[in-house]
Amino acid sequence: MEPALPDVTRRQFITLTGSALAGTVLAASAPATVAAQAGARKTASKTPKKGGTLKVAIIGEPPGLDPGFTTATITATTMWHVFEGLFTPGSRYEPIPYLAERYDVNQQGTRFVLHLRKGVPFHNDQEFTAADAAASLKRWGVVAGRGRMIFGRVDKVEETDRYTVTVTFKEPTGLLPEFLAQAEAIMLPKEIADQVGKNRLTAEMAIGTGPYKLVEHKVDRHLRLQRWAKYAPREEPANGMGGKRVAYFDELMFIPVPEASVRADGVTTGEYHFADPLEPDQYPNLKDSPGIEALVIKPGFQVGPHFNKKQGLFTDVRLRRAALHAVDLEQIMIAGFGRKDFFRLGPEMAAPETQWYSDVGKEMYEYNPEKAKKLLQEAGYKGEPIRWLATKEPFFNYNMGLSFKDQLEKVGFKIDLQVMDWATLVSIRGKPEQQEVFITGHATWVHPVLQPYLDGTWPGWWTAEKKNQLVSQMLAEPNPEKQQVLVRELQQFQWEDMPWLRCGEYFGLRAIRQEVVGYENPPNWYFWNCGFAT
Amino acid sequence: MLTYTVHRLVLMLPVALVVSTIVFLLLYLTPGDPVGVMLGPDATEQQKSELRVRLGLDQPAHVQLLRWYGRLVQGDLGTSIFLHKKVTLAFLERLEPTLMLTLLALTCGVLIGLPAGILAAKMHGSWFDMVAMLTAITGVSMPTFWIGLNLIFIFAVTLGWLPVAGYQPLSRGVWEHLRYMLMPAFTIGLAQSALLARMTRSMMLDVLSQDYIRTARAKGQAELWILSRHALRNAIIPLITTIGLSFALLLGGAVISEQIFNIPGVGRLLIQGVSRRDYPLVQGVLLIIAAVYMCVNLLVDLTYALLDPRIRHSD
Repeated sequence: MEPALPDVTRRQFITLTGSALAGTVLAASAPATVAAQAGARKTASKTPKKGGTLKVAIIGEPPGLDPGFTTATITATTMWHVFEGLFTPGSRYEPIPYLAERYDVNQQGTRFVLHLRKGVPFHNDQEFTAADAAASLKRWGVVAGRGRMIFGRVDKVEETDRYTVTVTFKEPTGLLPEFLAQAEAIMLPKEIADQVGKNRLTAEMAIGTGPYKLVEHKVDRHLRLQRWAKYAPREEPANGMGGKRVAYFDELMFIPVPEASVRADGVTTGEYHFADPLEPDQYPNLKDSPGIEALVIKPGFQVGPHFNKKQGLFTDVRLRRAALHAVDLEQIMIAGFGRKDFFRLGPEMAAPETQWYSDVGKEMYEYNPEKAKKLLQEAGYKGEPIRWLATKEPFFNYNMGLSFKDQLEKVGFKIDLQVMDWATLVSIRGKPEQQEVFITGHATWVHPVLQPYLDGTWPGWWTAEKKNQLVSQMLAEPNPEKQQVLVRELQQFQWEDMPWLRCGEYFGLRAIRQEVVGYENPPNWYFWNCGFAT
Repeated sequence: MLTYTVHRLVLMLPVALVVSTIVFLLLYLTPGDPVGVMLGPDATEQQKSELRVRLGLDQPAHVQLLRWYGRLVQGDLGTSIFLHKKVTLAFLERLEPTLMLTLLALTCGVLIGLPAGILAAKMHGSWFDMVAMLTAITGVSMPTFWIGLNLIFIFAVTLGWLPVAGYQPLSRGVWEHLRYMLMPAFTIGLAQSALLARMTRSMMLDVLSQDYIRTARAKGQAELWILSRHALRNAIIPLITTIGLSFALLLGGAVISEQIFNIPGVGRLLIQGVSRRDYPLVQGVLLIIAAVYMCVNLLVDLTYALLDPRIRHSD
């Protein structure tokens, strides 16, 4: 998943760029370290009380209320208080049953029997049953990208009884729970799932089983959720996003605030209780503000340039490797994020906090401009301009692009840095005849097979046969240990084939009022199991 | 007068048509489409092309343009792709914040700008004149976002007197409404007052040097009477134009202030429409704004006649 991107005005770009530059200067003089702030909060263990309205300043208006329809992170994070799935990520980001009580899978990974929890009501008071689950799965299979991928392998989905659904595959698909733990695999009442099909859910259709129900949506003003009094949580202790979910707040108010500085000021003055995302250069001020905590988010997003492997210069792997050896990745990340505390370098496809972490492939990276020059010569590169798409939303994209341009041109590349707004970039990056490179980021806390760039039709067009084989094996494999081996192989091959240049992983910044307790600071926020201090 | 008004109203139609066509072409020539924004960053190309077909975005430009004209003739400005509601309704929902911001900002601008300009002209060459004009030049030169962010820092973060940002409608109470609107209104009003002060001073200096002012003074009339009754009335015509155009401009959305102060007004609606490539929304809202602009222009012209009997439009 890539970071959700804001609706940003030209003026905001200027402000953000100015802030980023200022941040670079500030970073050099700021003595504070953020390491102690990352991860669990100081106040995380206090017991919350029930009641109150949590006001959350978010980056912008979500592009919809339907996590099945859009992959935008802001839709997922706001609406998973309303919608739930059969599975959810646990504390190590592994899939654990949620609306499913448990599941059985055969040895070949071709047949999953999903046993559903009983007595779980939707927000319309109907009980969640196998009919709803089957209809929701089928809808997921036509509307969501990953759902379509899985349903390409599905033979049939059957309601075995009122609380059991059986999914039979044409080929082994052991990785089904990983996919069902993603935000887009939501469970809806059957009639809504059937009715909405490929379309977007409207506010009236936002009926889930979650701890909060949608009560009001005023576009660009707020999204108001209210505690669902009949919510049926699991009994186990909380485990990541799973286990027992307790809604302490009476209401959650998500308020789109496009300006990062206003989000930060708002949480400082108590106008909001939580603000996300903020910029690294705001950290020195925030950490000294009374009554709030500045939280660095780990794991974060891995970021780097994706090469066009469908046509043009970078179809030659030697040029992709030349780009790798031509740049000092630390300098690139500093250019992007200002402070060393806000990123880490490494070859991993998944963060060290996850079960899929591995450092294989690390030997492939070597900052060696001479080697880069040699590779350029071998590839017969003659200074043809490389169209590099850049944007100032988010701010780091352009800053990293500038540093890349500077370093790559020193070894002989010629970079045509084209700056545009996000909507334009998204459009052009999908046209192989119009670009050679663009930078983007991807979550590090998901199973590597879920990375969008593994799809051969995703811009960048990585269609290598070995990659396809490994992905196919991973999708099929139900055994976690064998999965791990396959992840390592894929990671190794990624560094050999260089479909993109993973520069590193950056950490976001957010701020929370100290009166909010129990909040654990996961990569993507959620507000059950936390509340106002007693 | 009536013929003139009707003539001006009829002329507005082709202007609106030209404006809408230019806006359509500009949007069409801009790369990007709403599909990428709606479906999110990880959407596949197949998903995007399917949605394009469903929204009719795969049709050639002239087909889309003709369809839009067809709806326009029926009084339908179209439906926002992103908001899933009629453009007219979306505009009306955002009108209150923008209208209130415009009125408050202009009030602020007139209350500061006019007296400052009149006094500066009256005390031409004095320290007050210099300070007022220096302040005015500074006011015009300072970017709105910079003024806004500083006001937030001083009055919200440091002093805690006013909320950082947001909007409360009038229905929540006048004071609650004003608490949220004071800073944005002042931010815009300051720039407007600077402009008005400079114009007022310049116009008043012209008028104050006229013979009839000297005659009035020779007659022993009070200075306040001379300034308000004789000088200001003659100097005010260009000021009315400026205030009228500012009103129209701000009604089109004080984009930056609305963005910084998180006011869900027309400006923010428009700018987000552009970044989301919500074609029907941008086209519809710009057409409304163009119409408002033309109407205000007409009203300003008609006001001239009321203020200055020498001006008649019957010819």
